[in-house]
Amino acid sequence: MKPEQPTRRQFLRRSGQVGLLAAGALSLGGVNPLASLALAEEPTSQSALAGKADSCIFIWLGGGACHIDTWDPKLKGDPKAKKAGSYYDRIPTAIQGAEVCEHLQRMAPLMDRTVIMRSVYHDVIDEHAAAVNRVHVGRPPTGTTQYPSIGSVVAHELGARGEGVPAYVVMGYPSASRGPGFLGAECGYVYLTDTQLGPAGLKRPDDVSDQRQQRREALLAKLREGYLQQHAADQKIKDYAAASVAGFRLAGPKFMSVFDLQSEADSLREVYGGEFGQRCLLARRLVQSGVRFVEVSFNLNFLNGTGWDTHNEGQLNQHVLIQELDQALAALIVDLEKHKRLDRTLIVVATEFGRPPEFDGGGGRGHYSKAFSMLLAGGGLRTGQVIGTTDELGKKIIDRPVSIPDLHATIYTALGINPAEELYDGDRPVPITDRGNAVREVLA
Amino acid sequence: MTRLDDGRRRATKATAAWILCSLLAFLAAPIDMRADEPREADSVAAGDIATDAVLVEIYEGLPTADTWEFELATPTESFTQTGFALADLPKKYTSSGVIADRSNPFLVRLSLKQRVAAGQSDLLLRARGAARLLVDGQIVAKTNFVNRNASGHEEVPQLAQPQHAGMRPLSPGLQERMITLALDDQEHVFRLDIIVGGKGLRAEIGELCVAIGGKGEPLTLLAAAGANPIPLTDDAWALYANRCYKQLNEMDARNRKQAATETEEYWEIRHDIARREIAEQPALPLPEIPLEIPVHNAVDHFIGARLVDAGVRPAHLTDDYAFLRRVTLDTVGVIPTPDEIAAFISDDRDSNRRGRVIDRLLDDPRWADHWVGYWQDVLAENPGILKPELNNTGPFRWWIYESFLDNKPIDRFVSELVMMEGSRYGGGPAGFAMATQNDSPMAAKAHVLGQAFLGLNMTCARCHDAPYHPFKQEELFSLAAMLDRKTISLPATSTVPTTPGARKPLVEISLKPGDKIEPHWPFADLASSDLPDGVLRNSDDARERLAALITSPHNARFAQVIVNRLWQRYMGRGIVEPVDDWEVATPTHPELLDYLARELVLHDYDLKHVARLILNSHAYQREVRRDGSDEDLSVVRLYASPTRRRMTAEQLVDSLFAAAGKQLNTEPLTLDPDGRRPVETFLNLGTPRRAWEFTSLSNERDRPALALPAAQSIVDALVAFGWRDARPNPITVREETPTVLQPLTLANGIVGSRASRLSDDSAVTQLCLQDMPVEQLVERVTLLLMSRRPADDERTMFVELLADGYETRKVAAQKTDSEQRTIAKRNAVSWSNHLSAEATKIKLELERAAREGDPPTKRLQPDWRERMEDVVWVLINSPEFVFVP
Repeated sequence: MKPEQPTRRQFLRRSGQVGLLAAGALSLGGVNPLASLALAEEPTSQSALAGKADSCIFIWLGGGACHIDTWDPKLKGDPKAKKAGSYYDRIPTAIQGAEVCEHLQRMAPLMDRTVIMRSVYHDVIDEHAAAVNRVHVGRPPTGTTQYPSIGSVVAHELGARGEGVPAYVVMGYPSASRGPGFLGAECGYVYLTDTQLGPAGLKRPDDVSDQRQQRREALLAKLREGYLQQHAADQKIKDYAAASVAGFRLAGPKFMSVFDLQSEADSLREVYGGEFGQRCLLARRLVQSGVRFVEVSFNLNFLNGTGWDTHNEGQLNQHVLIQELDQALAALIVDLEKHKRLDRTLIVVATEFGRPPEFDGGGGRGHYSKAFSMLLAGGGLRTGQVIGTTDELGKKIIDRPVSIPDLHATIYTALGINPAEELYDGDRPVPITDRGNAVREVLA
Repeated sequence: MTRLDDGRRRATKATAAWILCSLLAFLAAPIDMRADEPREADSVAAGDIATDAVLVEIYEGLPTADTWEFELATPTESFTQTGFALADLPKKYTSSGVIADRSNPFLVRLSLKQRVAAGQSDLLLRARGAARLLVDGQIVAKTNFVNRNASGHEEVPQLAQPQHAGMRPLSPGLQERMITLALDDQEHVFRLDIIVGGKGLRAEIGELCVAIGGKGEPLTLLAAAGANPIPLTDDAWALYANRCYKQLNEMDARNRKQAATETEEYWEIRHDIARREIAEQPALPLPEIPLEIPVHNAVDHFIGARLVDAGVRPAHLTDDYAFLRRVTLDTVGVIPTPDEIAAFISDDRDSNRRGRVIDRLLDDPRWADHWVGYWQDVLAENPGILKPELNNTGPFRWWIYESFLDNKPIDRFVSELVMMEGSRYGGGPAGFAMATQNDSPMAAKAHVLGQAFLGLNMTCARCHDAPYHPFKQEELFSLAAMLDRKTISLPATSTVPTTPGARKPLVEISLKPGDKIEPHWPFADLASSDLPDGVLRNSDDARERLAALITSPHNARFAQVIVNRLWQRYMGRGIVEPVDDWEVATPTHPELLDYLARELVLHDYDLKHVARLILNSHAYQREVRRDGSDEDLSVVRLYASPTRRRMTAEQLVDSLFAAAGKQLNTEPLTLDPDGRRPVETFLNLGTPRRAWEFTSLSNERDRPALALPAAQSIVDALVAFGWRDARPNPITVREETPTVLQPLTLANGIVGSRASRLSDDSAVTQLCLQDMPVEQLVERVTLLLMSRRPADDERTMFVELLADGYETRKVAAQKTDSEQRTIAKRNAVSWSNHLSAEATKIKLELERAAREGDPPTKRLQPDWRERMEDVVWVLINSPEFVFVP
C-alpha cells in the first residue's frame, strides 16, 4: 500500500517548490534544490570527478554524419568503383598522430582544444527517429514512461545560470526527443528554427512596435489588476498572472537582445559564416547570458538536400556541409576562448549515427551505428586526445568503446551533475543515465 | 458476376455519337484507344443510370497489382449525389458500427446520363490514382497508376498553371487530362472509374472531378440535370467540398446505425439486464436537508447534507453570463457565441432557462468534439504521422468522435474498445490494439483499461510487483492474456534487470522472463467472474469476457469510475481522487457516488443523463469562491464552491478561433499529401477543424522540408497549455503548472497574433465594419471575447482608445484575395521530394509566411485597426480569458 508519508519525490518537490518558479528551463534562474540535496544524499565514486563546465552547447548533425568523412578519416574509397573508404583526403591536426578530413582545415590546428571520440556506438540504425531519441535521452524506450532529453535533465538539475533567461534553448525543430518527458513542461525548451525568426512564442510580431507594446501592456496591466483584485485569494489565478508578468520580462529587451546578432561586429559574423555559423554565434551569446544548455541543429538542407543523411546524391555536396561546420565550429571555439568561456562551456558535436565506408547505388552512404564519432571541446576537459580506435574502414571498434550512456555520463560529469543520481517519474526512481560510466581519462 | 447482356450493351453503343477530336498535350504519350477497350464488366447499364443524379458505387476485392485487368463483382456500397466529383468517400462500418477498412485497392465508379451543348466541348479529368473516363462506353481519358516513392529523393514537381484565368489550379499530387470532344445534344453516358489505393499505398481517393465547358471556355463541374452549375474555381470547389463533407457525415451517421442494427438489439438486452439487476438493489434515500440550503436536484441533497454537518455555507449561484460561459465550455468546449448569449439572456419563458440551455448544449454535436481530447489522454491515443515512434496507436480518435456524436452508451463504448475491431489505421477501435516499439502491446492496453475504467493503476506492474499498490505483475499480464486470447509469456524487457553482485532491487519481482501467464480475471474481489445470462455472445472468447467483466452491472466499480470522471470534469475535483487510482483513495461523498452510478445504469449508461444531473445542480452552478483561509480546502472538498479551473489547451485554442471567427487554416496533417506511401508509415489525419485533431509533428529528423509550419504554430500553443502532442501513456489530469510560455503564447505567439489580427476573415473586423456607436462596439467585442458586458472602467478605457478616428475608420477597399486568406498555401513538397534543396527552400518560405500570420484587412484605416487589435489582444491576454468562470 501507499505509505501515508509523502514519497521522497513529493517531499522534495514540496520543499523545492517556489510557486511557479520551481527549478527548470522555463522558470527564471532558480537553482534546483533537488540536485544538491540528491548529491549530498547519494555520493558515489563518480562524483569524485569534478566537472568544470557550467554550460553546454550541443551541436546536432541530424541525419547521421559520416565519421570516416569527418573526424575519423580512413583510406580513400571510390563510389564509382564501389571501393569502400573515405570520400576525401586527410590532413594532420594539432593532436599528434590524429588526422581529420581535408575539409576541416580550420579545425585542424584547433583540435588540441577537443577530444575526438571515435568509438561511440549503439544498436539502432534503421530508423532516424529512434536513433535520434537514443542519443538525446541516452537509453532505449520503455512502454511506461517518456524519458527526458539531455537538455531537459541539465535544465532540471542546474536551472538557468543567469537571471531572466531560460535554462534550455533549442535552435532546430521541436521534437519529442528534445523534450522534458516525465520531468514536465518546466524543463522544456524555448525554440527557434532560424536565427532571423527569433524564438517561437517569445519574439513579438513584427507589426507590434515598442510603442504599441507599451500601450498594450499598460491596458493589460489595468485589466489584470482588476481581475486579480476580484480574485485576491485564488492561488491559481495569482500563479498565472505571475507567470504572465515573468513572461513579459523574458520576452523583454534583456533576453531578446541576446538574439540581436546585428549588435556583433560584421567582421565577427563573417568569421562564423552562414546560417549555421550565425546559430553558433547566437549559442555563444545565449551561454553568456546564462542559458545552461543550447542545442544547435545543423539542418541547412538547402545546401545539399539531404543534410547529413547523405544517401545517393546527398554525398556530392557533403563537403559544403563539412566546410560550413568547420568554419562555424572553429569560430565558436576561438570566440569562446577570447571571451574566457571555453573552459566553462562544453561543446558537444553529436549525431544519431555514422555511415558505412561502402557507397550505395547513387554514390552516397547508408546508416551505421556500430562505430561512429562525436567531438567534445572546451568544458575544462583534458583535451588534445583521441578516445577509441576503429579498424581500417571505421566499422569495428578496436579499443575503448563508448556507449551512449557513457557519453551522457561524461557530459553530465563535466557539468558537475552526478550521472548516477535518481530522477523521479512520480514514485518511480530513474537514474539520470542508464548505468553510464564517464570516460574518466577526458575529465581533468 | 454481373455482366451486361448483349442487348443492353448494344443499346449503350447505339447512343454513342461521339467523335474524338484531339488530345491536348497534357498527355505524356497519347493513349491508344483501340488497345484499351473497356472490358465487359459494367454492372450498371445505361438504362439504370439517371439524369438527375450521379450514381457513386464502390467495388472491393480488386487485384493488388496495378492493372485494369479484372472483373467486378456487385458493388459493396452505392449512393447518389449531384456532382461528378468527389472530395472524399463515405466510411465503411462493421456490424458493430465501428469504422472498417475496405479492400486495398478498391474501385469507385461514378455514372451519369446527361445532355450537353452540341458541338465541341472541353472535358477535364483530375484524379490522384489510375482513372478512366468513358463517354458512351468509350474511354476518352485515362490517368496513370500512382508511382510509389520511398526514398524522398525526387525533385519538387513544377506546379501546373491553370488553363484559364480564375480556374482552380491543379492540386499537387493530382494528374489531369484535358480532351476535346464533339458531342451531339442527345443524352450521353458518362462513367468514371478510379482505382483507390494499391499495394503499398494508402487507400485514399484524394480529389476527383470531371469538368466540362465549351471549347476554350471556362469549365464547370459535370453535374446532374437541374443542379446549380459549379464553376471550377477555388471558391466554388471549397463550397462544393464542404457540401460533400456534410453529406458524407450524414451518410456515415445513417450507415453506422444501419450496420449496427443487431448490435443495438444486443445492447438493449444488455441494458434490460442491467436495469433489472440494479433495480433489485434498494435505492438510497435522499438525505433531508434544511430549507436554507439551496437545492436544484438530488445531487444537492447529498452535497447539502455534508455541508450542514460541517457548518459550511455554500457559495451563491454564478451570474448568468458566467454560468453560460462555464457550461458552454464544459459541454461543447468553446465559449458561447454572442447569439447564444443573447438567446439565453433574453429567454424569460419561466424560471428554468438554465435547464433549457443545458438541454440545448447536450444536444449539440460539438459535445463530441469536447470529449475526444479527454479520451485521447485517458486511452493514450497516439497516432504518429511519420513512421512509428514509442507506443504509437492507430488514429482511433475518429471512433471516439463518432461514439460521442451518437451518444453511444458508455458500456458499449468500452466494450468496443476492448474488442479492438474494425480499422487499424483508418480510425476504428482496432487502432487501440497497437503499441509500436512495445514488446507487449496487450500489457500496455491492460494497463490503459485498468486505469481508465477500473481505477486500477498498474503502471509499476508492467515490470514488477507494485510497491505502493496491491498489484502483482501477474495480474496485469493475466488481463493482457485475456486481451490476447491466449497464454502469454513475460517478455525479457518487462522486468527489472538484476545484475549479480549489484544491490537488490527495492521492488518485488515474482515473475521471471519467459513465465507463462494464463488468461483469467484477476480482480474477483472487485467483481465476480460470473456474468449474468445473456451477456456473452461468444463465451469462449476471453477478450469478450473481459469486455463484459469490465462493463457488467456486477462490477459496481465501473459505473462509479465513469460517473466520478464526469463529476471531476465538471466540478474540478473527483469524489474519489485521483480519478484513475482508487486503491488508496476514500470517496468524499460515497452516497452521491452510488446515486450517480445507479442513475447511469438505470438510464442505459447514458452519459448525458448524468451530465444533465450534475450541470443542473446548484453545486455546479455556484460561484468559485476563495478567501485564502484554511477553510478553502474544506470548501473545495465539500463542494460549497467548485474548484477553479483553467481552460484546457483545446478549449483555449478552439475558443480563440471561434471568437475570432477564423478557421484553423493549417496544412493537412500528413507528410505524404500526394499519397505515395503506405498507411502503416504515413497516416493522413486530414485538415483539422478542432484542436483535438492535431497530433505530434515532432520533427526528429530536423528537416525543414518536413515541417508543417501553420500546424506547428497551433501545436505549440496547445503544448504550452498542457496538451500532449504524443501520448505514449494514459493520464487523466494534465500537468497544470503555469509556465511563462503560456501567457507568452497568447501575447507573442502566432496563435495569439492570429486571434487578435483584424484580417478580412475576423469576426471583429466584421463588427468594426458595421455602423454603431463606439460604445456599442466595445460592448459587442467584450461580449464576443469575454462572454460578458464590459465593466464601466473597461468601457471607458477602450472607448477612449478607439474614439479617435472612429468615424473615419472605414476605407473603401477590396477584401484581400482568397489566395492570401489561407496560410497553408499550395505547395508540392511531400515525402517523395523532401530531400531536395528546393523542398527545404519552399518550407522555409512557408515558415516565414506562418510567422506573419493572417494579412490585415485593407478595409479599416491602419492606425485605428491597430488600436482595435490592441483591444482584442488585451482581452485575450487577460488572465480572465483563460480561466473557466
